[in-house]
Amino acid sequence: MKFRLVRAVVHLLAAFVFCCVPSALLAQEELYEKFKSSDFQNRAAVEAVARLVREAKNQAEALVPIEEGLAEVLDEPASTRFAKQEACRLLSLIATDKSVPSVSRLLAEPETADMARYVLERDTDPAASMALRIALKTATGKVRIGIINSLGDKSDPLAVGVIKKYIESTDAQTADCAIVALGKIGTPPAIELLLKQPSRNLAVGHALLRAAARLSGSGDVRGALDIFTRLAQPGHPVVIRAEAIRGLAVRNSTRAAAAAVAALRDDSKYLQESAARTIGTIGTDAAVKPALAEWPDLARETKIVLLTAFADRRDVTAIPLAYTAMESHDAGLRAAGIRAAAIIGGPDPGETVNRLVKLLMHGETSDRQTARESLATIPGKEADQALLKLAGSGRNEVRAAIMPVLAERPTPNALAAMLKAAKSDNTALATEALKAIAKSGRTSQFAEVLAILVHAMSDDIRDEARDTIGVMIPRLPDHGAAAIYAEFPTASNATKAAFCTLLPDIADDRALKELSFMAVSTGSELRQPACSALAEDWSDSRALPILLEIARTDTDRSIRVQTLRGYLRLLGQDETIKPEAKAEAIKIALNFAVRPEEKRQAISILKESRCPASVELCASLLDDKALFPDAAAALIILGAKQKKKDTEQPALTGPTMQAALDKIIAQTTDKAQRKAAQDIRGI
Amino acid sequence: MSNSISRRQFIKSAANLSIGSALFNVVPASALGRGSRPAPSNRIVIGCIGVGGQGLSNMHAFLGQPDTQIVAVCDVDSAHLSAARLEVERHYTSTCAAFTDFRELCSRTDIDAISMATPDHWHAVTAVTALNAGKDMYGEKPLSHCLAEGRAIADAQKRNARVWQTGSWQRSQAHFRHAAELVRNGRLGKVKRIEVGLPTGSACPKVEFKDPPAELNYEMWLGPSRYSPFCEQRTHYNWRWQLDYGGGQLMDWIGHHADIANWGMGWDRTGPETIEGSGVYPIEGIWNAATSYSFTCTYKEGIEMLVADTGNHNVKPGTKWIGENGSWIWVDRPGVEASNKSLLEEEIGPDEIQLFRSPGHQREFLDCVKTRHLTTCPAETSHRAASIGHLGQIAMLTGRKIRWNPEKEEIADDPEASRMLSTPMRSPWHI
Repeated sequence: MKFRLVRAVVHLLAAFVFCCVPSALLAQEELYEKFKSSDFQNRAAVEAVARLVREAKNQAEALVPIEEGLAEVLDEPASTRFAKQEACRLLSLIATDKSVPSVSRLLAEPETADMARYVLERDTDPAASMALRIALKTATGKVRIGIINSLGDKSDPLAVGVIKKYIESTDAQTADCAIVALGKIGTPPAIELLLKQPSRNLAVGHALLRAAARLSGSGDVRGALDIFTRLAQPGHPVVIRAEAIRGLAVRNSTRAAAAAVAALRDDSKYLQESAARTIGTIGTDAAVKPALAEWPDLARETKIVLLTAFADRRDVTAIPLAYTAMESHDAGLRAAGIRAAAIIGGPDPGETVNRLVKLLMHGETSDRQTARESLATIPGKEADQALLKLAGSGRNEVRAAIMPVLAERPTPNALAAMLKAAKSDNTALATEALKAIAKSGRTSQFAEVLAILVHAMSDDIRDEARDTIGVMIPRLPDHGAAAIYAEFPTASNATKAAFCTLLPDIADDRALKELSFMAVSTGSELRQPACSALAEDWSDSRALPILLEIARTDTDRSIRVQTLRGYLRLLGQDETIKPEAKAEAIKIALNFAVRPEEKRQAISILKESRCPASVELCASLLDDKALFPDAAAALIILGAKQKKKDTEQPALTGPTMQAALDKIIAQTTDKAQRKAAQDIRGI
Repeated sequence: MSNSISRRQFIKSAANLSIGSALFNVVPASALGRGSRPAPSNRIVIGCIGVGGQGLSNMHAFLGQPDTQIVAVCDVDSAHLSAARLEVERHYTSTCAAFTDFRELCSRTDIDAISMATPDHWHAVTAVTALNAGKDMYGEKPLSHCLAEGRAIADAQKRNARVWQTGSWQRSQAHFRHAAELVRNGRLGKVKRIEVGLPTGSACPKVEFKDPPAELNYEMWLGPSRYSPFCEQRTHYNWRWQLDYGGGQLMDWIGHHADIANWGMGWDRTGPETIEGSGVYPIEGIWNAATSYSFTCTYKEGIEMLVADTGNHNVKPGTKWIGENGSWIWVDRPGVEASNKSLLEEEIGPDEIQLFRSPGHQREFLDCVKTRHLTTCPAETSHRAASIGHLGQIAMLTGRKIRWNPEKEEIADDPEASRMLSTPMRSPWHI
């Protein structure tokens, strides 16, 4: 039963397909007709054929009608240039020998020759190559050059004969592309032709190098080495010689070392530097020993390259050169020596560490930086142990100098050494160690750093410990609050003063309470840092009442000013406070603001607080000459429509505003301001 | 013995000549190596090819280095060219040559290094010419316009033993390096999946073709690419949305985030084994690069890398590595995040894999010019990053799963897809 049903469905489908064939064919005919009139912006028909190509999935039978249809587009004289171009693009993906006649006809015309080449270059059928070779016989100018390029890209060995006559063309571009094409073809006849060309010709050199690489790739290493050896000789451009020497080295030729060492003595720095790098890649005694012997006479640039190359190979025989370079008068060479010594490490990494540390302490500024970076990455257990030994038991100056290095390589042992040093009584050492902990320390070290702060005997150590804790706080689950509050009952005033800087980062109610308490204490040792923390670092409006209170009542003028500024800062940044409330708060603050600076700060908040009370306040400030320009500017903003966060804010109007604007028009010396006021008034 | 004059000797003699011939002119102290600048003989002499947009930005970076001297600029747009030349001349108070044909700049023997920031379809021809002329190169990403061109550039760099730095500057940022080092050193365990989120593309309404403006040599701008009529939406900046010149947002960003993905995985010398996905390519207007795209690359041991645009697919911008136990590290320009924050606190020990700590992307290039050391982004590395995009493009355009041999760089059993690996060039251009 099931089988019958399936058979019926298959028959129905077959009948459907049979009925559809003529209409499908018709549709395809229409499609190619539309294709012929496609233009650069209407690609619907092109895309439809591209879809057919995709759906054919490389199946030859399915591709035949598409190739025929596209060939027809090319054969049609009325097809647009774009249509032919796109037909060629699609044919370049699927073409066989069948479309070659239609495509090759396009080679005759300069306007269509390139698009034809796109097809023939990608078409792997021998007929495509043959069409190009035939066309080359009669082609001229750019068309000829293009065909030569295509034959080269196809590496067509049969093309050598037809390309041959163009390598000595009087047209430099034609000769150049013929040479390149022969290099790409790279067969013995092609190479033979190239070898007959002048040795100073750069294009010939590159073509031979390419041919040699091709020979080598196909297994004829000896043939390739012969070409490289020849090109490495003086008389060829230095660029070619350098490449040829490298070609020998890459293929492990025994000739490479001698050629590279000889190149070190060449007048050309290009060749010297290239040879130095190559010697680094060879790395045999035959190359390294003679190169070391050449060292004293090498140019500084070549020395730098050679050192870098040896360092890349971790060649311990080069460590004496690295040490020598570290003592050079030339800063660039010294830097290369430092880096090379650190990378190589040497037979005795401890000795290298000692030398680098010496530079770290006594070298010139740039050397100290290079030494620090190099010590930070020097690998190996021996080097690590040498560094930790110096960090743990060296002189305090040495230990201090090593701390930034340990921060860059924070292994568990390095972290322990940093903490140990941070507990030192020596201020320079302890502060360097604390800086290192701030950079790379773990939150698990927080308690110990807090203890250092609490028990610090020196202000510098306390300050550094405070800054280190400041870095750790954001990473702690409670921002370190519990541990810090636990210290308050017994902490000295100096410790509490240090905590003042940290409390705004904790920012909970207890932090505000402790700061408020200290801010109104009688001793300036705590009052000053607490007021600073509230005024400058506290981040929300919970601190407004205490700041206002201090600004109003403190006996110290500088504290009154500082807290008033802090009050205005928090007021200005809190967008949840309504304009009317802000204006009211500012009105109160203005009662005891003395300096114009704070009054200006108040005006800047008023201009953002759009309400009649703000207008009243600003208008009243117009009478103060020092504040007139700021108050006038604020009123002009309030008196005009403004856009804030995509919402239109209406202009503030009314008798007060009108009177204020009239006053601005009458009194301002700023023309733009007057004009703006007049515009609002409609004058 | 060669009779040729080295580039630095050339500069030295040129400087002497100018001092002699301009006897009564004031010679700046920097020209003599006093002050903070090295003497001319110790400066790296640079030429800039492509000095609009990113090229100008790169030029500024090189102008800001004490040991460089830009002596020539080149652009096919004379407005860009004049502005760049003027800026260089003002900076040094000395003359700067201006070329409209890059081949003239490349043939100058006094130039050590070239900064190249042309549209993608020009990368291979310019780069191979410059490398064959012995120039070190700072080239913009993506490395290439198609896979075969990328291979040609990487081979030319190796063959000529030149220094190459691609402008994939994220590798010079500390937080990208830290993220990649954590992944490389196994902090996620075995990585199972990578997600690379890139920007979404856009289409272009129909345009009006017209004659190119007088300042633009349009024929040269088209260069090795197929002919197309001029319109403003085709050229400066917008070229990247057209497959003849660029590869859309996909190729514009693949050299950043996929490059970082490769860095973290140690995949700078290899590539995926299969690629499949789909994209939406506009069929109207002149912009035809994919506006929506998503493809998956599968690597050895079944590790998958999803590359997709963030506007149409559930993927976050940047690079995300996901480990076998579900832990992950994500990095993009704003910062780095991890499934477990403590992962990010971990430092890399001296005996672990340390990725290069760059002193700055351009600075590192200049240092390597002096030491001949490999840069962070040599051509081979950037070729492998760009290859991901090129292969994704082929998979999306053919609508098929592509099987790729990353060693031989060949597509298996798909002649049509294989033909897409290279792009024929308009005469007379070739590489």
